[in-house]
Amino acid sequence: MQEPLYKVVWPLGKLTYQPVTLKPRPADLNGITVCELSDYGFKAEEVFPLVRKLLKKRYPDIKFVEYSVFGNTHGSQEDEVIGSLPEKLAQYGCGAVISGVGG
Amino acid sequence: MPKSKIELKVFNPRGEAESDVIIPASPRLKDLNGKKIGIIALKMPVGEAFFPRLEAALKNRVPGADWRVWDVPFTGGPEARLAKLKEIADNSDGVVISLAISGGSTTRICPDAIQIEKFGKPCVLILAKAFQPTARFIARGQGLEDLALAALEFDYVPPIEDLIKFNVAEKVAGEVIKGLTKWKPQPPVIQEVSEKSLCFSGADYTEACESMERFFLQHGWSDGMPLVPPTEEAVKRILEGCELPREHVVSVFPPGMGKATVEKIAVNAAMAGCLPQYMPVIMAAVETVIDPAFDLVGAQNTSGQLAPLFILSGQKLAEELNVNGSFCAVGPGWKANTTIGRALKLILMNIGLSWPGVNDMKAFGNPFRYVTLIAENEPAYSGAWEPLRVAEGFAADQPTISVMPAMSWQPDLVLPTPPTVARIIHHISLQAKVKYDRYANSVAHDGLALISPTAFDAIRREGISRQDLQKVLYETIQLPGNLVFDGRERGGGLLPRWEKEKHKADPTAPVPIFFKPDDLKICVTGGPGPDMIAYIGTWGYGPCHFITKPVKLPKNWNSLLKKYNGWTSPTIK
Repeated sequence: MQEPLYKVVWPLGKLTYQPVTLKPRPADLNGITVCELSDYGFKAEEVFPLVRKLLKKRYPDIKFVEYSVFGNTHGSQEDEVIGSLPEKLAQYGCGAVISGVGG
Repeated sequence: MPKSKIELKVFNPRGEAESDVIIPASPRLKDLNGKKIGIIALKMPVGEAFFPRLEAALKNRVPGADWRVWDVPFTGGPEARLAKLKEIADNSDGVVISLAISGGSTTRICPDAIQIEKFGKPCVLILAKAFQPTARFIARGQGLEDLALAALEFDYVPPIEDLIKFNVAEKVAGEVIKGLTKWKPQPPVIQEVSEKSLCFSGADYTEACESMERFFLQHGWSDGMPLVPPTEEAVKRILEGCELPREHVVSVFPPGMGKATVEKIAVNAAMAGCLPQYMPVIMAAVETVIDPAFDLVGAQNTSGQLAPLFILSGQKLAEELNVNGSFCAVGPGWKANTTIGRALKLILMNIGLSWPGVNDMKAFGNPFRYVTLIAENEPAYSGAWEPLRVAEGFAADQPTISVMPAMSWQPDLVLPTPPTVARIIHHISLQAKVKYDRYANSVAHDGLALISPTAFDAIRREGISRQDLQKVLYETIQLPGNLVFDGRERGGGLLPRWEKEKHKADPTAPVPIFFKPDDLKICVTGGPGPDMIAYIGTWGYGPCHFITKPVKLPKNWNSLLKKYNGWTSPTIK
């Protein structure tokens, strides 16, 4: 006897956002302004100063805008913080972003 | 073109009652005047207010009866209890037993009433209204056609002021007299299906499955989720994972005293969606709950929110079966965790004949009653600690399964970072004190602390052993004695003398909530990341302890794994 064939419906939700192409990476971080974004958690206060120090050692002309300038991206004001980012990143001449810390 | 008809022949998952013979209830008395009626007054809350009123109401209604109050203490063991009940039956024409106030007390008291009936004397059990189906069901399971009940008009036992205000003792006295004289047995609470197998049909497989599931649900044989049909083929496949013969009786499960044959266990495992290689774990888990120190009678029917939580200790076996002990260990996403846990719940329901809302009257229930198996994350110890099974007295190469009578589930983030042992102790202690059940903690108190791998790193760094941590937690998790004791003798006299003396000298002085340090079990599980701990409080109202048993693998183990492979979740390493 032939086994019955069952046709089933795909159970995953359809993605509602458009895929984004990653921006080209700068060849050299010297002269680049790096903006920091933080959720103020998972040892951010220890991790960012370390990253800053180590990158500065490698790229002496790198510039940083510290995460405290932008506010907590995972706090009670996160909608406002995220909403203001395009304007603020443009204002500071942002060339790259470091966001963290995931934990 | 007409669709072909699909037929499913499946096993009945219900445990056959230990007693094949249903004996009729004893004949009722025509008149209580001139008769000797025994009253077994068990010590229960509000009893002191209730019994004198009940006795007065009975004597007032039937002054010509010889009412005699008997004391039957729970201490002394089953043989002494049986002898006492025989003495009461021999010296009485009828017996009244009072008072069942909850699921657990109904389960414990019912056998006394059933025994009196089996001695040939009419008996009436007084109980809170909600537990009538429980009592009748237990009677049926223990071979009595039905039990006469005198129910309070409350679903629960009311406070003393309501007992008096609503004249509860007077009203129930009338029911007691009816129960001894005019009562007649009624049909069973749930329609019993004695067939060994059942047939379901449909136009296609889905329809036949639905027909089976509907029937199983209506008869209380389902946890509400879709069931895999336990056909002969499916059950035969599951039995490949067990060397014992089908008809071998592993145990008899309370409260309905259903026979747990290997076949019935396999039927329920098949229904849960298990693979054959899960059987050794299931069989070992069954051994944990039938250990008298787990108190399955209490666990099955208590009104408390207890659920068995199982822990697999044995990295090789956990990997072979894909039992998750990493990210999302408590679920969902892993077939072994989900279906083994589910099988055990179905086994307890269907073989123990314990069904939610019928004779399992937990006010809330417990999410652990759906998914109840986690694995220990042994690599996270990095050799710093011995695994749980070794701490529980087993060899390192012997995989084990443990059961925790889990009442609560309270995860907590160890903050501020970085974690230290002091902070871990602080957070476990906070949760243990919150989750301490001052009323329930009268007999046993085995707690469980789960520690995430990242939090465990602090313990490893600081070089603290399992025993050291248990000792510090035992000393740290203390509450004022008057809260712990709550006016009662805790632990049936098992407590150290110093603790009793300390409390006597100063009722507010802190005392440990555990009887001894290793009553608090510790297991590392879950994935790395945030520094998490989770405290799991116990039930403790019965002698219900944390139990560990070895998982014994069959000779065909390797071929079994090879034959049924591929059932793994896409874990990102």
